[in-house]
Amino acid sequence: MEKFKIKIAEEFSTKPGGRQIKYGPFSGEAFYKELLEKRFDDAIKTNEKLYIYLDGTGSYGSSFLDESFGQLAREKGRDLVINNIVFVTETFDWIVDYIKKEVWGEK
Amino acid sequence: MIEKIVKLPDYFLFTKPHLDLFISVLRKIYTTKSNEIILDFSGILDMNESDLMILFAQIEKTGYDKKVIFKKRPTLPKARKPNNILSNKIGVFHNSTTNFNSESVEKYADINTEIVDKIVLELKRIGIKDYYSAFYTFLIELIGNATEHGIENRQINWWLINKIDNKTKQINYVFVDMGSGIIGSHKKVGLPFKYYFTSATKILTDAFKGKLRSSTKIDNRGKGLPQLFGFIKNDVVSNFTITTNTVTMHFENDLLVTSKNKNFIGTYYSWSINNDNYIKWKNSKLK
Repeated sequence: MEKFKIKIAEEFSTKPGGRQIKYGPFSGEAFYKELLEKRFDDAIKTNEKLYIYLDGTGSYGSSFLDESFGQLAREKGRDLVINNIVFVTETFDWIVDYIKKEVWGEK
Repeated sequence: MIEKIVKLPDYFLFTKPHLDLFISVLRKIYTTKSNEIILDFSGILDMNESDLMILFAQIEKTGYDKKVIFKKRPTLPKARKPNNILSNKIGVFHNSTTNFNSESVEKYADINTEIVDKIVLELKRIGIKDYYSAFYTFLIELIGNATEHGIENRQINWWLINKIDNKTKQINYVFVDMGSGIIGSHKKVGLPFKYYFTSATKILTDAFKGKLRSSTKIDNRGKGLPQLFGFIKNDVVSNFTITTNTVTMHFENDLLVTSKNKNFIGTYYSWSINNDNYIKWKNSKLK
């Protein structure tokens, strides 16, 4: 049972944007502040994992991913984030690879 | 009022061997001290819609710097192609908060994801029925880079034009921002010491290969251009060319090929997409 999850296309936007709020709508910064940080904290408090559903959007840019998932790792600790975020996708395996390798620096 | 007439060259094309002359015209418009400029289109023998778009972008940038562009009813060229281009509306996507008025220009705010989505969906017109998500990312990277680095503190933004070639079932794109240019942005904030005596060409190629830190100087930045480079290497788009500051670069046989040009203060990208690009992406390991 997934107690904590975010379906990005349903809860945030089908068209994610750039890095910061000042550069346009649906930015990585907005996603982090509006949804990701709080939902992650709630999951961690109850020893649960946070499931992120990526499908249903146009796609994601590196700036969006860095300002959301990268920021989460910088704020909460890389290992805590890596061990407690689960990505769910049928179409964005390449985005998951990018987050793990380029944003979180996993080998 | 002192007016200056700027005569556009016979071949007003942002490609070699005409590129330096084109850039000279842009510089002339930008640096003139006159507060009225009259553009003389009458002698043009060849130009494309994208060349007109770059001219518009330069005019906007010049206007932002408090100079006045005075446009008399233009004398149209006799040659049919440039005459048609200058007479007709063209489809230019433009992101700007300035008040540059033209029937041929659409204006939006910053990184406009609705427009990015619209541009991706237009690929259906050349037979790409599925959503090309890699192209969405490609456009977000390009626009994000332009907005974050090139034009951050100015009310000038990005311009994009696309044109379908029905014969080849291909869409050709030109994107331009009139910021400082990639090399200019890096120089403005200060390059690492080892780049002090490095050529502009090396600075640009290293930025694309991820060897150069972001011009924001923040450790986790500088990943947009390397991601673009990954897409180019994997044929997400074809015929990719960039001109920024004194360097033009394209990708050929797995190599970055560079050449020098006069200083273009801004960044120009062109590329094309056809169904083969999408098929390759669909079948690639990257996906």
